[in-house]
Amino acid sequence: MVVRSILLFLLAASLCSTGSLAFPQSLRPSIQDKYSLTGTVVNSVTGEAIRGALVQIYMNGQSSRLTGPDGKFQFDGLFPGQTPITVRKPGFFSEEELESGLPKFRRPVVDIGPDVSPAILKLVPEAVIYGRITGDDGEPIENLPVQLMVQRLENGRKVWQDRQGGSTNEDGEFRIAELQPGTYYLSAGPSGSSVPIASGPSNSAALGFPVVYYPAGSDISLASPIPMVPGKRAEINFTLSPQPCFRVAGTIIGYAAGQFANLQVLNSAGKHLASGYRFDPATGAFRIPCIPSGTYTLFANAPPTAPQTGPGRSLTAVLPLTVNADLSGIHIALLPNANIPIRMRVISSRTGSERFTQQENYFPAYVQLVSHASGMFESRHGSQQVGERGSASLELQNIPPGTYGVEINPNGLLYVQSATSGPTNLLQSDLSISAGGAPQPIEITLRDDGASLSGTVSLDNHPFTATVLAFSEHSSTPPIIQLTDPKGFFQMPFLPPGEYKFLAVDHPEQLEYRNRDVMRKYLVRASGITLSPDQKAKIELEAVKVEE
Amino acid sequence: MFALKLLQILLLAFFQQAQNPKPAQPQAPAAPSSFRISGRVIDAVTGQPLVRASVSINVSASAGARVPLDSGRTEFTDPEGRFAFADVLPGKYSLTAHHRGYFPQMYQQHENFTTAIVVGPGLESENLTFGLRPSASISGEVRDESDDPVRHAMVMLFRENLVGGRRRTSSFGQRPTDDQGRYHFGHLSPGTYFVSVSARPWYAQHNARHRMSQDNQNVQEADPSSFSEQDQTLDVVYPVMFFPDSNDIAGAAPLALHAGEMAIADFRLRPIPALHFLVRAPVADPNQGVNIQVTQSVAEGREIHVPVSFHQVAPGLMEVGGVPPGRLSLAVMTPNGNATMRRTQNLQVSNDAEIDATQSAPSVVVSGILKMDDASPVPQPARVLLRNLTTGQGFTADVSATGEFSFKNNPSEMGSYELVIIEPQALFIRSLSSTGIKTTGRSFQIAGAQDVSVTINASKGTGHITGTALKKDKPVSGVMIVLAPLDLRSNPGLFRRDQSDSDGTFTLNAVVPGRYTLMAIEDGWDLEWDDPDVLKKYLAGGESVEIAPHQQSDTKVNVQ
Repeated sequence: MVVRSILLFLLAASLCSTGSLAFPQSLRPSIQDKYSLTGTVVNSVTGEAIRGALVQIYMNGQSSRLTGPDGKFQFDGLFPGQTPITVRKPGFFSEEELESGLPKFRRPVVDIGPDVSPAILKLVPEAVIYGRITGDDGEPIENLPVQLMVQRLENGRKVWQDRQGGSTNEDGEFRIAELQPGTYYLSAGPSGSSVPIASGPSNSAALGFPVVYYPAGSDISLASPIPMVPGKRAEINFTLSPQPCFRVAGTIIGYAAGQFANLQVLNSAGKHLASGYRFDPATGAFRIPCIPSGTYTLFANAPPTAPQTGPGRSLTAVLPLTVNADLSGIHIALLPNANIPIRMRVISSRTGSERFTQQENYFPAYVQLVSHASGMFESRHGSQQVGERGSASLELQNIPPGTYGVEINPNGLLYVQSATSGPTNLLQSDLSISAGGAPQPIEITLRDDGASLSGTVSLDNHPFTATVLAFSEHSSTPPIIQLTDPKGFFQMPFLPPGEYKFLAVDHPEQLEYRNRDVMRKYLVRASGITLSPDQKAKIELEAVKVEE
Repeated sequence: MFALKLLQILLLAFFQQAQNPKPAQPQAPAAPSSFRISGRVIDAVTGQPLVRASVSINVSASAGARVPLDSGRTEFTDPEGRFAFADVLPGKYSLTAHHRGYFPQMYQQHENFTTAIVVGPGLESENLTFGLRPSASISGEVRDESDDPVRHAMVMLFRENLVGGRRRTSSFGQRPTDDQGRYHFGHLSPGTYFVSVSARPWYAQHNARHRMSQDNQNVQEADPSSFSEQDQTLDVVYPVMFFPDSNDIAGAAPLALHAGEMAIADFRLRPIPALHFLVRAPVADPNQGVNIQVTQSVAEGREIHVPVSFHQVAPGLMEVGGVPPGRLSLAVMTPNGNATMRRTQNLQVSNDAEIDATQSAPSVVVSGILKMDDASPVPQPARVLLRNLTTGQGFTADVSATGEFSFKNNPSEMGSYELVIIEPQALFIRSLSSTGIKTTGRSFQIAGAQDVSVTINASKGTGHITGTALKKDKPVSGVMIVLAPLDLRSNPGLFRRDQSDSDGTFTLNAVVPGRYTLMAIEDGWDLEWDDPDVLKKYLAGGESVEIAPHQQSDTKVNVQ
């Protein structure tokens, strides 16, 4: 819709007569013309108009409107051009919010000018999970933590991720709103203290509510998915039976005087259970009042004992714990985390000799330790530069005990020929770090005679934009990943010589490519090739679609 | 007995689990070396027994003593409401009870005091009647001008209380509303409450209104045509609202809750135009940034952060938008070397305003040194409290072993202040001295713009008074014990109080050496003892005591 005030029109017409004649005058939008933008905001599920939504455009500053009772909005007096447009209202997500993480996402814009059609803006209603948790005596359970989780892929692995949470009120009720569409899992518990006993007088062991994965699982693998589509209201009621819970007591040693030692009791999903942990720094005595029977990992930590130069080594202790009775006399000895030196050498293929570029702040590779122990987020420790200028080296610092995958990213024209820690081949096996030990250095050999592979990806005989994954047959390291250009062309330089399987997929972010069982059905459609040093090979790949 | 932190003790008690039953043993008829604590838990209103109430006992340690990790025990009441703890060693025990629908309570609780049960030969620790008062609650809904629920609104609860011997209305917690605009405060003890809500219209837009004129000569209101009328209708705020429909606590309706009562307090918020301030800030360097914080005083001692928008109109001139009317405190922070200079102004505003912060004095930093009179190092850890005597607001700072302390993170405005040693309890302030300012006793005045350095002259050896409250030579439990300094008016920090335990005994810790009157007042828990006129009539019936450093004194006092 074009709004021309007579004055503006006259003014515009007089200016246009001296302007460029590159366009027929009737078609050329005059910069003096002002236009309107109208539109409607609708519920993406029901199609109903949404009143009172805030629509904002950004032309010569921000301008905002609330939609009327019919869901309509109008901006007047706009110069021609392009503007981003956003819409929001409590209880809804904009499509922008939901899609901003996806690769195909485009920020919505509108063109202002003649013949602009009314905009239809969609808001996606939030989902809500609510419910009530009662004990098996029918009494509501108050103050019980409730946590939502999702499963997502991170670097080709499935990990659990916590989302919104809450806790039950006096009536045992919980309510978690502002949920994006997706598949959720729910856990409840544990209770922070022992609870009154349902039947009979006291005298028996204390009872508590352990963590329960909805509907009744004691382990996260037994959790049932709760699919939430936009606008869904899901009522989740469940009944919990109190379980005997036990007291765990003991002593922590090894922390610095005056410091506090922290203690976590983690279940198989990495969830921290021990509320009510008490610790007496004067004696080292600790006590956890109520832990249900089960198998746990005790994780204790404390600040470094003495200030040192550089980052200090925190104190850690990790030990397995099986609870099926009151436990006392648990002895936890804190030990400093490990610092792991890294030694790298580079073999030059032309001379067969070793070289090491003594450049300031240059290292031939960057090393990371990756832990998946908790089953939740992966955690990473990156290598740090240590030592004096000129004789600097890399070190992995302050590494708590545990099992880690070692990821080595060479810089420049190099590939990793071997990586070892003592007898352990780090290209095949994980690295185990024990508490308080002095771990062997990580020895890395890099070479410069890598193979290179180029090729094109097609689907149904048409070039296809895809992602190529190269799986090494003799290494458990992550695949090498390369995106094709829009014509399906890709190039992978500096590949370690050896046997490979190459797979081109459309959606690598939806592929659990670190899971061998999942990959079996994809890898039968991969192309195998053996690369020798300095070889330049070519390959044609047919894209494979990732099934959700 | 005084319980430092009721909740902590309660929780702690909760973690104790019931003891496993001891195998039945033939009871030796000899004089028992262990005893029982037993009684019934009833509803204090109906007298009905409470089944499956949890009752906990905890060793009542005097302040400063370490309580072992395993000092408490918990039992649950039987169908007649009875509980019993067997094999209790002689000593003093605090009792707490909890039951669904009842807020956690200590035995004969008044404020944070309780009557501890004293166990030993010849002492009555059985057949206790533990009356629990049912919880009250306040809940409601917050809706906006379009009748939509307001989510993430902050609902604040206030309670009328005796605090420090004076009746005040003070903050008693806050809750955000949920996605349906609902809130709920449960587990409330009977009393008088006020509810208020603070929220921002979710759609509010606070665009700048001022800019420099073309010739850079003067500031003008922006060309009105550059803001449409619709944009201006979004430049709104919700004023803080007290239930049912007042912008301040004076006009609020008190909610007088009886035990077990459930009150409803719904709100309907109405937007009003946001205020805009032009603030002139002192800037030496036009490239330096100026930061502005606005807080709103909702009620005495309750300030909330106001999320304002601000932008620089010209060097040293800021526009602050999105301001609600009310009692505001506007802090202008300007860089000053490596530190930040802070200037604060208190305003009562109802219209747009121009504020000249260049004229107000910057806040000053109070620092100093704590000197022990025997020149010994300061025992660690040590902390001092700086309290504004007008607002009651206070901040703590650590004191190093060599005595230095600084409140550099909490600069102070002009006014009267008091210094108190929080930790360790064995220290007390003999006097203050300063070269720059005038000190009186433990207090001093900040009048100028210069930072203040105060020397605290401190001594070790606070005293300790134990005693027994007697009525016709018989011990009385549950009475209020007050230790009052001779000068009732200007030494609020010297008062000590307790509640007499089941054998009539009481303990007053950390008594600053000096002369006092010790009183035992029956049914005295509603007295506003901070008012000298209220306390005056009890002075004659009290005992005069004088405490020297390190002195432990045991006194008998008659109950009035």
